[in-house]
Amino acid sequence: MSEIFSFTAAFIVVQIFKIIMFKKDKDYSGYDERQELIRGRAFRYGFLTLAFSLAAVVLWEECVGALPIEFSLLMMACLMVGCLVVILYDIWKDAYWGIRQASGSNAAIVLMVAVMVMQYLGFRGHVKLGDVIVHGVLTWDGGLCLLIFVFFALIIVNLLLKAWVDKRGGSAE
Amino acid sequence: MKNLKMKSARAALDLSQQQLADLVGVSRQTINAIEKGDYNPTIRLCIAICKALNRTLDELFWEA
Repeated sequence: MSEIFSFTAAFIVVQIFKIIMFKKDKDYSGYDERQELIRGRAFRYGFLTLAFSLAAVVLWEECVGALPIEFSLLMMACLMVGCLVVILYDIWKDAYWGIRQASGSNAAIVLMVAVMVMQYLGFRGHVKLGDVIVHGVLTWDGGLCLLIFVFFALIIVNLLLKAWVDKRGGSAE
Repeated sequence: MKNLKMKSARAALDLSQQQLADLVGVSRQTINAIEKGDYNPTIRLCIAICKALNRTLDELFWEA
């Protein structure tokens, strides 16, 4: 129950953050046809990745045997890989992915780093409790913190790498 | 194929990609992609760009 409450609270905080950030962009029309096109492709690739990864996990569990990871955590990992495909495709094709890259990327990175710090602290807490790996299986409680940490770390690395590539290539004239 | 006509028209008005993007209501990356020939804009965006640069569609987007 407390997990559902935490997720809901985090979702509300992110939405408020987005509303505040978008309010600053009064001149932004909110529609960019090229980006809508890219986002459409990104959602397609993300959905296909999600579908194939879910199918692969279920097939593996049925045909080969149980993986040393709690099943709910595996499902969440598949979901996050799908989301990651959408986000990384958008980043590398210069589209927005929920928050504007032009004016909001710094604020977004701060928010993501804050989430990563919280996840790291959570993970350390679980390590101290010793419930990250139980009977050789990576549990939901400890594994989720690690999963979210890696998820945001990959986004930040790609954002910074893209910014560096753009700067080096001098895309703005 | 690069759209050098659009790039020179923008430069003639001393506009940056960001300024033109703001005028037509898209992102700077979209203007960059059009000039580099990586993206074919819709007629709606072509018209908006022509109006912002005081040019006709033929002048900017017709390949002779």
